[in-house]
Amino acid sequence: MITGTRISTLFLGLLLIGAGSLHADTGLQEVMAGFSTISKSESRYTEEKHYEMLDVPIVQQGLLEYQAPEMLAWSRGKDSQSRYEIREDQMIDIRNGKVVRRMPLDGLPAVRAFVESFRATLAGDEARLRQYYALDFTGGADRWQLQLSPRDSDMKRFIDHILLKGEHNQLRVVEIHETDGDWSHMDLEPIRQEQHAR
Amino acid sequence: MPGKQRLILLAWALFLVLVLYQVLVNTHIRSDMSAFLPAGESEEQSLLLRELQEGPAARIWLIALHGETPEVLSAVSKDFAYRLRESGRFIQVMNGDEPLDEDSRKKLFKWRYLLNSSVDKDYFSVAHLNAALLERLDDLGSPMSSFQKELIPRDPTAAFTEWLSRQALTTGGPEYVSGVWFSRDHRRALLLVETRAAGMDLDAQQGNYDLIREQLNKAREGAAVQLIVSGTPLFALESRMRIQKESRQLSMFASLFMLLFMGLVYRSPRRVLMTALPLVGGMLSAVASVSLFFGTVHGITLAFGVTLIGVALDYPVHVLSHIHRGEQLAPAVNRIWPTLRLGVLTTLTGYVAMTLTDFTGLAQLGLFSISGLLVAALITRSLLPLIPDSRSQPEPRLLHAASFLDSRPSAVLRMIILVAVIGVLAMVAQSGKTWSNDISELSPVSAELKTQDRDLRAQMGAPEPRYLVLVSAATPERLLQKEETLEPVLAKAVASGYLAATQSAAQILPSQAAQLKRQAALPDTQTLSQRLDEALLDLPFRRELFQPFLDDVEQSRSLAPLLPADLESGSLGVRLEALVRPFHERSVGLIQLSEVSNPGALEKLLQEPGIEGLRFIDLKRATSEILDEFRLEALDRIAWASALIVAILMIGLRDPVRGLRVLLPIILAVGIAASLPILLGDRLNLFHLVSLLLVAGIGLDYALFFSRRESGADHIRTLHALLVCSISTLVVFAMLAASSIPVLHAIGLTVATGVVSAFVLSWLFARQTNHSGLL
Repeated sequence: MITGTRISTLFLGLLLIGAGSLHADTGLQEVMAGFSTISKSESRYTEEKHYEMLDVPIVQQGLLEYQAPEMLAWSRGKDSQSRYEIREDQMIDIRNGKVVRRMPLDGLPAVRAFVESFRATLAGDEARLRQYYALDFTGGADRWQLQLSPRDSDMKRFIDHILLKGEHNQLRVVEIHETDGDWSHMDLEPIRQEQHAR
Repeated sequence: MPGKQRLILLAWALFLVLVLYQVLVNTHIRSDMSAFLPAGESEEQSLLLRELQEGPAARIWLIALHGETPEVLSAVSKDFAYRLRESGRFIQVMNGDEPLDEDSRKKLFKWRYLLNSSVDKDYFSVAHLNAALLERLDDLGSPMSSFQKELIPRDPTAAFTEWLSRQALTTGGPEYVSGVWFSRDHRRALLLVETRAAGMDLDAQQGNYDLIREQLNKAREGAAVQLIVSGTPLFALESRMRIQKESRQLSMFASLFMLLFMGLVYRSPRRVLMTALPLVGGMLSAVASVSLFFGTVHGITLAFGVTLIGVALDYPVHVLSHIHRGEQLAPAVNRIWPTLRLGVLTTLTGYVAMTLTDFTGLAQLGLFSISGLLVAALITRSLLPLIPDSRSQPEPRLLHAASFLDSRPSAVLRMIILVAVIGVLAMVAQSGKTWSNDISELSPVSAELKTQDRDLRAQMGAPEPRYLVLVSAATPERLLQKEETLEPVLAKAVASGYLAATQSAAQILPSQAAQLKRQAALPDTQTLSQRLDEALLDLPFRRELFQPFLDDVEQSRSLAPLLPADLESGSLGVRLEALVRPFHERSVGLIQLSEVSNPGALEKLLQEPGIEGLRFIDLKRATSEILDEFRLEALDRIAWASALIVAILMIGLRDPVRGLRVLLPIILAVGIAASLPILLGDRLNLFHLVSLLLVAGIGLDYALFFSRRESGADHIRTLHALLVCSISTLVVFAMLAASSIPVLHAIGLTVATGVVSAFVLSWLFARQTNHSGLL
């Protein structure tokens, strides 16, 4: 029966599509669950930043630190002389070991959303991530790619989307694509991870 | 009733109606100190008074929220702060989350090169530009570059953000959780609010307190968030509430006691009413006359005044005790009137001396007492006798007890007592430490609340209510200039650890002179462009990127300086208004100080540059000085009054020996009443002083009546009246003495002691009567 075959093919197709999206969702959940077991991590990074303002890109190395539930820090330069810390919901700007600025994230909604792209991911908090971004997960838990498109209008002014790539519960690549065409690419190399005590 | 009597009755009724009208309709009670103190003797003093009443430190509420998780607390803090800001009743509501309004922000950005104190000739040098550009390059390398790069083409030296962050750093500060202030242990969210209403405007502050509680209730949306409030306005409200509550209770008990006691002694409700009539009429007239002459009645006048004319309660008692069986009141009034008249006249003279002073408070108090006592005496003399007494009225109770007072100890014993009393008084007088001017000793606010206030203040870096700096100048511009010269001195004081932080108008908005000076240092476009090119060598920035910067500097070269009026509508304008205020066509600036730890060194450091018009103010010391002056003035008046009283007594009694018999017990009673608090380890304050005046007034009456020349039977009646008077006064003031409120305790203890002493001493030293009379 031709029609019967057609219908069952269609049905099978629908099933497959459903299974595909089901697969993607479980993949994201698996990745997030993996991240949520980590209490502390450190990664070395190499970053390339392409700016319209500059004739040549900035290329630099640094260290990204995360400590559950909320501490996040980027250090750059020799002896980490430039450091940005997110702590107690403030952004703390440290130059040469001295705090030069300390601003509450609440006054900076775009910055907060940006911080969550790292922090909520590293915490494995999918709900929090969805609060700030529309998510597009592709691949499987072993090799995945997650595109974050900002929901917040403040952040949309600056950021078009952020692309995260990783393997299991390790973040490997962060690409930031800004609204004005500027973009950056960061490769991360995990050097230390600690699990939550069970 | 004969026509003349009816006329008198009518006149009294009319008078009392008018008095009542004045009291109920035209009387306003003030509670700010200014109405009580001398009317602006020196600029210093009136400035100080204004600071006491209106100064920002007295308008600050410190608020802590607790009882929930930090997340809930911070969310509630934000909503709560938003609600308070929206109410429009606060100059500022700070919780770490306060936004700078868009309009102010735009202006500050536009004027950034005139506002930033770093701007000078070197600011646009090649070297400095190069260093700044390197920093911007570092900003681009930072994780936050997406959000920071926007300003780089317009403000490559970060003149604006640097200026902004300097503003934030001066407030010092508490820790943050979720963007709002928290205590170090993260259990309390902290807020600091400054009200528009003056600190002494207690009704307005009560309204603010209610608003704070009401808005928190809305903001917490059912969460278990608890409120802790502190600050000078709260202390004022707390004191007022406690004093009002306790005095209401005490006056209720006192009235109840008086009604019962008078009822017991005089055995008739009608007579009980008679005893109250002169006092009530006197009090109403006193309030009416003060409000008529001064426009308002001060709360302190009322409190002291009511105490002082309490002696009027004795007037009808004397009358009632002297009524012979079956008699009406008139003959009894006639019998005692000469003695009573002398007592009233002398007391009134004393108060006349008091009214002749610059101290509004003393003058009000004098007028209050004069009119109160005068009317009470006149009511006793002319209104009471018009009230018909019951014909079958029995003799009062305690008459028999009074007859025991008719015999006295032997002359030898009396001499021994006299010497002993004088000896003790001399000893106390030797001890020296007599007066205290520390108002805080009188505060009924608990030590616990005070400690909590200190803690919250330190955690928030809130301005000190006690220390401040005032700078006065001819114009606001001159004032800002003076504050600018003071800036390095203050910075040095902060660096030396004398205090934690300062806040002045010049820190928000520089003087025009300073702005013009910075403007003069701005290079023209061509020069700047050349230097920029040089600074950009070897840097990856594109050349044409900085055109907006060149344009902005060029525009800044022709800007008129930013004036306080330009910021008027925004949050900074409101701050400025609180920090710079006009005063007698001059301009006075306030510099707030936080966590002063070494006031002595700070004061010395501030005086060093010799800035004219600068005053370091210790409000506690200053109020002590005002109180000192008040006390000296009062003592001076009392000395004059005493001299007058002695003269009148000598003339009135026409007998120096009897005069001495009257005076000696009064002097000793006042001495004893003054000594008791000192012996108990206290020092005397204004409240004791006023109480001593009452002791003198009561003592005078006692002494005069004890030494009356009259028949033995009548003398027993005099003794009875004195016994009833002293028991009632003693009980009422003993109730006050039992109060936990220092002010009421002081008044109660002094008067109770004084009354007992006056009674016993007058009795001991009164002339012996001949016992030839009836009864």
